[in-house]
Amino acid sequence: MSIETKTIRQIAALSRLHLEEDELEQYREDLSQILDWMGQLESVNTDGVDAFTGMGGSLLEHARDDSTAQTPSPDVLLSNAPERVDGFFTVPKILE
Amino acid sequence: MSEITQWSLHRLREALRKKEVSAVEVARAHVDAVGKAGALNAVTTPTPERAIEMAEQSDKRLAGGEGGALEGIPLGVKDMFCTEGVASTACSNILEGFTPPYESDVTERLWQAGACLLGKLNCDEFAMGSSTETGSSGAVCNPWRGNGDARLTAGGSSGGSAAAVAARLMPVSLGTDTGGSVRQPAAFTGTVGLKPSYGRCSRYGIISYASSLDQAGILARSVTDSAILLGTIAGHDSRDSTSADIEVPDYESELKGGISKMRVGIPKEYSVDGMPGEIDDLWKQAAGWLEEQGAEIIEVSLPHTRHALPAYYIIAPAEASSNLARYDGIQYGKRAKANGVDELYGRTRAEGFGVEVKRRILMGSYVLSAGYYDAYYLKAQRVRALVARDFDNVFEKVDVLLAPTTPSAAFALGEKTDDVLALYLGDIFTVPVNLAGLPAISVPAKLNGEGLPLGMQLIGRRFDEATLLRAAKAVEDSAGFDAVPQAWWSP
Amino acid sequence: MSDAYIKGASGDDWEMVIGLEVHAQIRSEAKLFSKAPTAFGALPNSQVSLVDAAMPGMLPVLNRFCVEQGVRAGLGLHGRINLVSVFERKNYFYPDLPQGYQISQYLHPLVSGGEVVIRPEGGEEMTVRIERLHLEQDAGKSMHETGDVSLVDLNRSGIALMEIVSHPDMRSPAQAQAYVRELRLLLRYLAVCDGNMEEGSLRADVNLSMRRPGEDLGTRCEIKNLNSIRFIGQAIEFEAARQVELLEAGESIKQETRLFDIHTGETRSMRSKEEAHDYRYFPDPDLPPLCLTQEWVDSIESNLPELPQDKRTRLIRQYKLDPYDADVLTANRDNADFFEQVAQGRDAKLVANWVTGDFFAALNKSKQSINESKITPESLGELLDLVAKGDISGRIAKEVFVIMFESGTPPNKIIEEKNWKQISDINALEKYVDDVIAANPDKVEQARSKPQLIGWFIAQVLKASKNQANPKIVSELFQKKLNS
Repeated sequence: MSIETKTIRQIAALSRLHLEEDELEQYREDLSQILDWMGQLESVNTDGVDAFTGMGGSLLEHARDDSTAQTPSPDVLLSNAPERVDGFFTVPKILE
Repeated sequence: MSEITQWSLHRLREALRKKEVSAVEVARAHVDAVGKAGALNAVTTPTPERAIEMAEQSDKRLAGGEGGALEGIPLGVKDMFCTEGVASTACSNILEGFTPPYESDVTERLWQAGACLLGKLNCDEFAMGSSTETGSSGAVCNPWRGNGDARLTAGGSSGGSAAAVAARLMPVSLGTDTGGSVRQPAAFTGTVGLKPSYGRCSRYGIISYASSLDQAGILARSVTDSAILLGTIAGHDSRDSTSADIEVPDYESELKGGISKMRVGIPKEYSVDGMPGEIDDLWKQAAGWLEEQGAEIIEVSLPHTRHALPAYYIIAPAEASSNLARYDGIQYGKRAKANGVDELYGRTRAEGFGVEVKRRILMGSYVLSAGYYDAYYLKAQRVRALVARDFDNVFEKVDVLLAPTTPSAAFALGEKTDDVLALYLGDIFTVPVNLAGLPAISVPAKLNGEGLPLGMQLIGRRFDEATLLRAAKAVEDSAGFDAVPQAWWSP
Repeated sequence: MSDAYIKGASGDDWEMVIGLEVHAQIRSEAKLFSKAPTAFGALPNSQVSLVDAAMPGMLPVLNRFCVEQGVRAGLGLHGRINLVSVFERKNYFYPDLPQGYQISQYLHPLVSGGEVVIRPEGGEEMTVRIERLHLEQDAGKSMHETGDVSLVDLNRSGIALMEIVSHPDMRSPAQAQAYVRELRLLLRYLAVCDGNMEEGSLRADVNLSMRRPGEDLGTRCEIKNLNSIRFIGQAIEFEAARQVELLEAGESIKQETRLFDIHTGETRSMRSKEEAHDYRYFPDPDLPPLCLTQEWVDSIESNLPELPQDKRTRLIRQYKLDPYDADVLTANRDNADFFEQVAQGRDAKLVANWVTGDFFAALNKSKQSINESKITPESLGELLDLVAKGDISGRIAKEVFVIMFESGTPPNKIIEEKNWKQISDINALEKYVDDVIAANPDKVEQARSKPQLIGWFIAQVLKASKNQANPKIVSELFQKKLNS
């Protein structure tokens, strides 16, 4: 199965990965090859088989009560932030 | 090379308790070994001062007769574990300089038990790889070179953890195993690699790759050492909703008792075209060892085995594509120069992630996207259910399974970097275990014709690590593997 | 329902088709998947746990209380509680979403189905069907006001929301507004959400399409994040007119997300949401399926309070209230409780008049809630009993009430202090009556042909007695004396 360049471009945009043209082509080839190989799953009979839903039992057993805990101070929270202003994280201006 | 670095965890523990050596002496010996092993590139962030400091504390506790289960034992942990105040980057540029203000549950248990941190260990970027070549710190070199002198891979993604233990830089280390990332490097480096059951150890503070498959793992030089370490890192953690709230047995004492009457399954599907005859022979030989010790050998079938690998390479990237969405240059980590928000995302992630990570993000986004979800992701989860059901069925007849860990010995660095699929295919024997959440262990069994280690894998029932370890001990006892790589890296 | 249609410039009738997605913040102390507090108005980024900030390796742990509140709401909506529901990840990038995905429920929500009975202003009672209720995380907040950067505050990140999705059953702004009002009331009765729209605890997304009567559904637009009932009405009106204008010009409607500008009253396309979405939902691998037991659901159900609709019906039946009074009283659970306490053993209609009249007016004026007032059900009851016994007149009672409201002094004491006890002694009253008759012979003469003048006589006595004369007895006396 061969993926179109258009598709890989869309997927890259969806994944917020900026790719140059030659990279797009390389990933297009890689993905085409890998998806081809994955195509073998089509032949597996999964009629009436429920999708695997994890091994953790029920979430309610792992749930907690409604008590609060102290959160890190904004200083600690933002200590790894590459840019910040007055206790806020920042991004280039967003136009809604 | 100091003799101390040759000692097992078990022996070090005895020596420390009897005060034959001090924790600081032990730490210094290993700090030195790490310092001299730059050529292996196993340690990405050494923490010698911290190791000595922690050892000093250990000596105080030992002097007072206190001491935890790992008091004074130096070790390293894969860079996937978040360690408070020590850079934790998953060997990715995107987490460059990230220093967590928190500690992973598993490593916290280590420090509580008295262990000392030697450093963070090299791995594939975000644990995505089978050769430890894709990380920001570069390739790890296998201490083993066999009869040749080519630089070989230590396996991956926990290649640094395996190489460090094989090269006697530390008695034990932590890795993570999502599709074989502890067992395969163990097999390639002549070490023991244990992946506990999914849910046995908390994932809190382990940088996520594929959440439904990730599990902390252990690299050690003996089954006993891995049992000791498992006893420390296993246990319920309310901060992880997939952590199992069940009792943790005393694995060390459970090792005794032998394997008489144990039923060992030989899954016939764990044999692939092109697999060297010596691996097949070793498999038969290992079955024979177990039989000699009183086990019953039963051939069993896991019919969906061959579909596990493509299912894994759909599910793991799908989860990864979402797990890695948080690396966007806003809260922490690398941030590219950009004019708008979309450019910030696109460039930060383009500059921060390496080729293999990008490939898996793209794969994962693709199989989850509209129009492909059913054919790939949902299909893979159905196949996963079948793979898990196969194991359920055979574990009604047997107690453990015996199979090779890998279809080959260590290959040359760079050999498979251009052939993605060939690299993926190497995970064929390790991946099914992760899909089903089972515990498994790789035990070094012999050197092959080229002088390289080969590992045998044992697979257990979920949460029955005790039986698994007992069987592994039996293989270890019979194999008598005591080869040590020549320390070519040490100046 | 032809009156609900709007006319285009062409003179054609157009029908609105409206569905709502309401986001209601669950009244929990801690967030849905973390222990960070949820208090409103905290310093930026001061209520953000490592989980909420999506630090590497941090994992979500579910707040059981939030599930319970979701179940309560679902039961209150008469929906079906699904014993197995699944948290999924909705994947998209936005600076206020640090994980890069929102944990929500998609294919398997906590609640399916349900209904809300509404009474739109000027319209008939009707039922709006509920499609689903699911639990999800709120996002943080990005602010774009200043400079060349946007600021991100994650205090809201991870707060528990219930998303309640209606069927597109509404046909007018009034219906949509009535729906939100009724839903908010229900959630407040259940105490699962404080319903405070200004603080963002309750927000609505409106889905609106237009069609000619009888036609199939048209293309819809979604107007995001409306935080007042008035804005909901304004946004629908503007958007309906906009769509009709386009459709009548032969253009097609682009399916898109729009923002309502509260300053201009207009909607506009949201630039940041322009690209086509592909959320790549899949079950969150950090969270196993949420399995509930029927016993647990039953125990929650047995502890539900009376719901507004039931209470309204009961008040009408039990106290013979008219629907308007019943509506006003049930618009707040505390008000209804207050009313019922006072109404026990008293004239319910009179009690309703007092509560919805003088009392509500005074509360409004002083901006107090009923529980903050110094008036208690006991004290108001006492006051009404004094009127009933004839100890004071209704007019005096109103003055006593004002003092009670201000000071909290018991009515007895006020009457005593002010010497306001009503004069019911027939001899004393006769003297007042006789005095007025004696002083006004001309009026007495007029009264023979104009019996309604009796009111003027009564007023004179009340004035002379400083409102203490029992008007009923005074009236009887006048009738007797003026007619003889």
